[in-house]
Amino acid sequence: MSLFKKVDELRSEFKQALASSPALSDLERIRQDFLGRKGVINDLFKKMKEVDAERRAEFGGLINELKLEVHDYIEEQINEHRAEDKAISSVDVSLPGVHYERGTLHPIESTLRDFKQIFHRLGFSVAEGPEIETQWRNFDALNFPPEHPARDMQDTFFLKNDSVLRTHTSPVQVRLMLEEKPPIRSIMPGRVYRNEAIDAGHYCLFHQVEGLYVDENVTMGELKATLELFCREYFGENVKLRFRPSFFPFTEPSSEMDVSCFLCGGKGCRVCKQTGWLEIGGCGMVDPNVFKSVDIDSEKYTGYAFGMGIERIAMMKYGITDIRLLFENDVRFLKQF
Amino acid sequence: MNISYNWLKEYIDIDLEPADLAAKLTDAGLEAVIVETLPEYFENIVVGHVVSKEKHPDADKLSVCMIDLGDDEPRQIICGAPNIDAGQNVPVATIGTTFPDGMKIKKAKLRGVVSNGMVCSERELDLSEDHAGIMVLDENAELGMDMKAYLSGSDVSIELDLTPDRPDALGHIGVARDLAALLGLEMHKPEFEITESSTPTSSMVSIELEDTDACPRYAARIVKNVTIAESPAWMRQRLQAAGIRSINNVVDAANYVLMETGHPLHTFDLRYVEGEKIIVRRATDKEKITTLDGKERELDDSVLLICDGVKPVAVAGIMGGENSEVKDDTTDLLLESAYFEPVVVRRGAKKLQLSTDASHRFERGTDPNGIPYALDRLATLIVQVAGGEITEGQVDAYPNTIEPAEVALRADRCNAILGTDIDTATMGKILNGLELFHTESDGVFQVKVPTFRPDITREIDLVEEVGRIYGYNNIPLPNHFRIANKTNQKTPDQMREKIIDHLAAVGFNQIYGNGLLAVDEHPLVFGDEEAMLLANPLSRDMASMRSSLLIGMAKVADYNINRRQSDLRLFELGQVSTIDTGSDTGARETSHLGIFISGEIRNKQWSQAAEPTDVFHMKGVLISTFRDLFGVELKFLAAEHDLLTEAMLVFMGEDIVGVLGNLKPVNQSLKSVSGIYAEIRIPENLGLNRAIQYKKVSIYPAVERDLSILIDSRIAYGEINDAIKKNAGKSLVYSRLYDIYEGKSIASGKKSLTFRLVFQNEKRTLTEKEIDKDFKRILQGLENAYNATLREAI
Ligand SMILES: [Zn+2]
Repeated sequence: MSLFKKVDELRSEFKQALASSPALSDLERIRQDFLGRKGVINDLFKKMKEVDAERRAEFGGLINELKLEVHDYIEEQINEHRAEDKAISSVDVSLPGVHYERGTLHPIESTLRDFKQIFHRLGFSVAEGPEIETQWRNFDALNFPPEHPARDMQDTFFLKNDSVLRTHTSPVQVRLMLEEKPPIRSIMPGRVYRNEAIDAGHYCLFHQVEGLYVDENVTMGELKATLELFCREYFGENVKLRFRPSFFPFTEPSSEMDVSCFLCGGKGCRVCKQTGWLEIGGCGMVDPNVFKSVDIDSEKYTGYAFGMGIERIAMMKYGITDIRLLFENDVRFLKQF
Repeated sequence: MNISYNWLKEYIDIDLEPADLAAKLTDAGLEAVIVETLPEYFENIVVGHVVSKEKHPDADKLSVCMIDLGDDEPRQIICGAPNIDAGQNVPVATIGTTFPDGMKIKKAKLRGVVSNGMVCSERELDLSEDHAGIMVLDENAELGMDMKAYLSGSDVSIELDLTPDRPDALGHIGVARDLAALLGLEMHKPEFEITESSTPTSSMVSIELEDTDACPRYAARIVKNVTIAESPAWMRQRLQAAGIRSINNVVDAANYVLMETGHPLHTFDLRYVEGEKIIVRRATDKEKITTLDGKERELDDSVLLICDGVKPVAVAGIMGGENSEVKDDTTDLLLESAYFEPVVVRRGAKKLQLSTDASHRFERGTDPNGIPYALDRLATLIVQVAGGEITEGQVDAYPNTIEPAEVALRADRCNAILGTDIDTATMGKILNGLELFHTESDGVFQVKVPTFRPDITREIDLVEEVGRIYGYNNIPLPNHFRIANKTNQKTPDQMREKIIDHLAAVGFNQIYGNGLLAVDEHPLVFGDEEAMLLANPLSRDMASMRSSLLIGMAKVADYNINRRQSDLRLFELGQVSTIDTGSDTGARETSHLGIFISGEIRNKQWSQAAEPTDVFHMKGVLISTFRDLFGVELKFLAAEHDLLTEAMLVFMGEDIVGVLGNLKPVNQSLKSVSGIYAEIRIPENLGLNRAIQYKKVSIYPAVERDLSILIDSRIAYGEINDAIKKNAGKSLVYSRLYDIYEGKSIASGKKSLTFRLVFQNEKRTLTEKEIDKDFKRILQGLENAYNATLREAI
């Protein structure tokens, strides 16, 4: 006899649902739940066969009764709602508001802003320089010996006059150290170029933020602490940071920095290629040869430098899997930021 | 470079799983990941034992074999190879195997007889070119074992992504050395005894170095009576794990020692080395050699050659010559172990556009003092795998010994740079682990840097070694930051941010365009564009630096319009460059702002009309941007412009800073783009001197009057507006044109302008009489100068 009992159960369920005086939109949902094609009352009809043949007519009658009851009651409630709204306002408040089209910052710009804001708070000024540079500022002054394999690490665009499209924003560090005496505490955002085939992960240009701190007694510990604070601010309090020894001509010791993958929390996933880590940039202590080329005494002063790619981090943050989207500028893409 | 886990274990007793080992290496700067070197489908190819072989009843060349795969029942498989025989172990592609070319193994009938798989040749498994017959496997191989397990010998390949400063780690021994320092273990190099015949090597070959700067050391040995054959399985397995294809026992032995010591070696067939000597010299201009890869290469004097008494036999440090290659019938060998100057090899490799395992290592710096060891190791290994006898002694040309560098390391300096407190004993242990042997007194280490570490020449390089092995992740973090008491903000960065924010706030989408354009994509927007051209562009359409933002903007507009997005409001703020021979980069770079509007500003809505666009919309955007943000008044003058209709020049004071107008079709491929375009050169000092001074807001009431006049339709609004301001007196605080009309009810050749004028005084309430007086003066001025008449209210 449980199916007969079920009818009563549904009735009390319905009453309970209406007890909290639901809004118009909730009423619509309740109607679907009870009366819809996949609603609970229809389910009962489907179970008719399970009832003993002699009691089927009786059971059918009971469901029909419940169905009418629910239907009438919901209609009544909806009409009441409409009457109430009309009494409050003579206008149709559901009409659309006047649409003002909002403009947007490009995702590279907003990522850059986030970076600048955090580093500003840590006492870094902003320095900039040209995209076309001399080979001296882009390579020689930064301790890239001529004809050293290190020059192959960055595929370079050369101009017809032997200048280069800067491969990193480090020439701005050179300009700054030539113009200023320590202490120097600046970040260098800007556009850089690499002569690489374009695909989902590579573009012929991208943007970097580098940082430089030159002062007395600057240590690698301070470098780590600065970057760790930056990462906690940007990626969230729970992010973990890992430093791996590496090689850059302009720093010694040199390091790569990885953050724990924010998608999987370090367990390993597609984005972090199962390693649990995402590479976000390089850093290290300014090489004495760099100080020598800008005439700063490397016995008296030490310094740290770091660099991060904006696109790479923006792509991680916004879940963008193809770098070319950033330079296509489809407005349907841009308007999402 | 790939290394083998099992191979590495020969030199150091590590107790780490491959994954932990990779993590440890990565932490020490040898970025390591575990890789699969064998393809996935090898899992379906298993070792089978040929139980019986019968002739196919209907085909002469086919055999019907029963093959035991180590499971319930042997399978019947048809095989066409002549060399298959009962008792062999063979690789069997089971049903369901899919080969890379798409071929799938199915149960099939061959001439009426069922076959349940395929026996494979080496070529079918892409292991070599051998297709003479099926591959015969080791007789002790476990039946049913898949080919992945069989070929790798349950080894694991680890791929190392090494930085160019670490040539010492380009071999298993070097990697083991780092591990020894990291884990506090002993590393052991292979030990061997060399057995020599009584014939002195020096009686068979001599060495002449013509350029001892390019080749400071060249050593050779001779091995006679070798038998060229396939390498033993253990050697093939090792090379397989290291990602090197097996060729024959002699070449494999040389590659084996390369992967072991990191030192590249070369083997010549002694038959073809003429004149009993080796000469190392520069190539002459246009001299030719055919290298091992079969290519004839033209040389110049940037390339160093290894020659015999008659001809060149190899390109030094890069690739051997075809004429002296080891062949199947080779019996006597000349072994080369040499040191070539990195820059020389690099130039040669660039010239030949050829990068090999050898050149990769020589360019980074090999160990000149590791040459005899590598040479002896190779000679003994060849005898082990190919037989033969080694003649007596090495011939070693090494006129000027390269001594280990002496570098001092101050312990306190090291700690000061790292921010650590490592004691001298710990530092000493780290250095010893890396074979950086030293003496120490008063906290100063005198380190003798072995020649296999060409990257260590200065104290700071030793600091890095200490930090690397100590562990960057163990360096403690200070609790406070120091912030310099000094500002060196030197950019218009904030000014640009203001412009970007303003435009985004009024509905514009910021774009980031590609700065590289085709050489013919430099339309004259300002008229002085002369583009900087690339010497090595990626492609023809990216061969120059943008000289204005126009083409980039038009391309973005075109992209969107083609995707049915035609109501566009776009802007870009970016660097453009033009030739400037006065600058040391040869270029002048300026910040430009490009703005593009097309379609409707606002589509029709139920309560609002559509808002279309015109050049005055753009003009308003520019005026508000520069006036509101920087207090700069722009001026606009009509001008002819090749790219724009209704064109205006934009002035800041006396300087032309921009253009604005309706875009004409930019070029053939962008001809569908139409809209309004403006481009402004942003002065570096924009807004820098702006000091906002508060002006008191008048507490006295403002009075509004409307002025409607008729004037000759050729007279510009600007003139009238200036005249109103000139004649108004001090009380006119505001005037706004709110109607302009030409047509019916107005005489032809005339137009009507209607202004709203607002009068207000700072110090008192204005009387009607005063305002009338001002109003009359304004009207009088317009009547006198422009023959204007007051228009009657309609
Ligand atoms: Zn992940």
